[in-house]
Amino acid sequence: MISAGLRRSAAAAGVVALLTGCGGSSSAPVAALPHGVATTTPGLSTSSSGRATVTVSFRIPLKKRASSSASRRPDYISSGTQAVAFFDGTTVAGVVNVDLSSDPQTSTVVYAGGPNDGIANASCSGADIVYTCTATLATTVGAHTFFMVTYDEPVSTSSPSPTPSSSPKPTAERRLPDALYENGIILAEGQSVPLSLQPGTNPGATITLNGVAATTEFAEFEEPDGVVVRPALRAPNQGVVGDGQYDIEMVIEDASGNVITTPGTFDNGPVIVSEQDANGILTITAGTFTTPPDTSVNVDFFVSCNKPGTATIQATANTKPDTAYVARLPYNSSDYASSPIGTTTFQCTSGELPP
Amino acid sequence: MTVGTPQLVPTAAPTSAPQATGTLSITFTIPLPGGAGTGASSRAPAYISPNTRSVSFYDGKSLVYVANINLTAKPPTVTTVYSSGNEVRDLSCQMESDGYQAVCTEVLDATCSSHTFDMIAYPNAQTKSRSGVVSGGGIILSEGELGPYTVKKGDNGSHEIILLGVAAIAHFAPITTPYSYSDGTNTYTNVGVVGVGTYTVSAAIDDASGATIVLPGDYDNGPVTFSETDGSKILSFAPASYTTPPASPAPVSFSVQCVNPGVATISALAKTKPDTSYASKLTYTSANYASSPIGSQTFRCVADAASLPVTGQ
Repeated sequence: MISAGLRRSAAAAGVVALLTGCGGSSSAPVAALPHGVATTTPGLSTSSSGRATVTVSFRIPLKKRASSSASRRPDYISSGTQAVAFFDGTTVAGVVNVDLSSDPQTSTVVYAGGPNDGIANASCSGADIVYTCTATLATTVGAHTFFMVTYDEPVSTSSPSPTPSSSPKPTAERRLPDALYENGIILAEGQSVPLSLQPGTNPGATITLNGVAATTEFAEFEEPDGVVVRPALRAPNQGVVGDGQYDIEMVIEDASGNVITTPGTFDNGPVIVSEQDANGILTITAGTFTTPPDTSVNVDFFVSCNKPGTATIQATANTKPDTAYVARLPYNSSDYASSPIGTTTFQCTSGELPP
Repeated sequence: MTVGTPQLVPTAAPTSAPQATGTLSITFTIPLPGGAGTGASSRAPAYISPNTRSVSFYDGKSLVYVANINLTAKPPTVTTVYSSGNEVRDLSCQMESDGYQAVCTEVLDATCSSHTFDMIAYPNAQTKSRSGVVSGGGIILSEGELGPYTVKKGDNGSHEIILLGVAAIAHFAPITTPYSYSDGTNTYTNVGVVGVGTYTVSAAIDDASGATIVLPGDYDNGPVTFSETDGSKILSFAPASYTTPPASPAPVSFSVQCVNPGVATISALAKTKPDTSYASKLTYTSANYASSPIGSQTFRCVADAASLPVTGQ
């Protein structure tokens, strides 16, 4: 959902700015976030109740601005990608390590596949955060489904553990078969549609990658939905019981801190926002996200206060793909971020907010 | 004696008392060209091509009767080219009421002894020169034999000669596969993949007039065998050899597998003479029989290898 408030803030200078954290933490409580400075806009009015009203907008200065979805659409290859593995069904066809930050960008094939499945001309490239990774796969004729996975760390052909060379490499460390060692977190993965390959050269196939939600960052609430009476906003994430809905924005990022965008869905979605403490302080609506944003880096949800108290809001995601990929990777906790992938707090009061 | 150019040997004058003779009728049904009756059902029990234009009858080595048949005339007409005389009567053909076929009857006479009668069908008309040489006819459509049969005095009734179709043309159907192959420049459809699947080869085995040969007789110059004649061992298939034609005008078929990449040539082979030692002892030449192979088909096999660019985005 695109925040109307965010759009307004983008159009109007001098509005209140609340800053989000930039640490990329998987848990970003609001207390840890730099607080914005609230200022009032011109045009104060007085309500019939005699209370002063002010229109308050919030703006989220997003980290990694350059990785905004607007520049990355419609692709989702994270700029934090350092390794890409290509699979032909359950078989690793090739692995390439990439450095998208170097100039020129580099791609190094660390595994070119076996006799029946292999890659050639593998590389990842792009400009201005629009990246694509491509390889020419050589395989057998017939039905195939190809799978790609991107990692935030390079893949190694040697064990990261300092084991004697004569000792077998610990299989448990392998998160890719074929004596490949991967210790990164999955940034995105996806697979092609089932293909029936003809002999020789076939037309190209496209794999839409689904970003793995690993962290969220919350902004403070924006304003009561439809109720713009905020006599005095003195602290972030405070609301009043019975005062309507508060619009809270957040960004959902992969493990490298890049905001996930369409065209894919969240690989481990849906991302669900809920009240972690289960005290019923809040009612949260529109807090389930299966599809990332496409034109904005933000999604937003709404909370309303049911009773006084401080609620902990969490964003949870699955710790494995929501899709049964053809690669059938053995996902474990090392591949995925733990859930919840982010938290924040929201204080509900029974009356007027303190000055 | 050469078929199509048989030498007319004058009958020697009898030196003793005439032997007793008997007659027998040879009856056959010819489906009319282009009619619905050209199916196997109308051709059974003998294989007579609807494109028959002339027939010859032999008593042993002796040519006894030759006639041209015009099946396109209504009713069909018969023109006798040669008759050995005696009691041999002219061939008569009557169109059947269904209008799709003609029933022809030839009455032969022979001495009261053991005889073997041969009948040969040709796609072209025959002629007799002033010197008595009968020629023409073209490549034999079918031939068959009755006997040994002991002719008795008087009427020996009606008989049938099962004709054996002479395989002259193998019409291959395109070999269809689910695969096409692109080498980046050219794309070839209906290719086979080495080690993947089996592919059906089918061919209609026709006589020289293009009519598919059917039962009840065997192939006159069979068996018709299919083999890879390029010598490259691109294909693997069980021996495909056909002695007996199908019951209906349908192609024969067999399966092949690709074992090596390349373009294979599949050929249909047949003999250039009958597989049977007919009593007529004709000397067959290339004018009487199609050369072998009687047809061929190429089939491209490619390696079980595919490539495609995959782009993740």
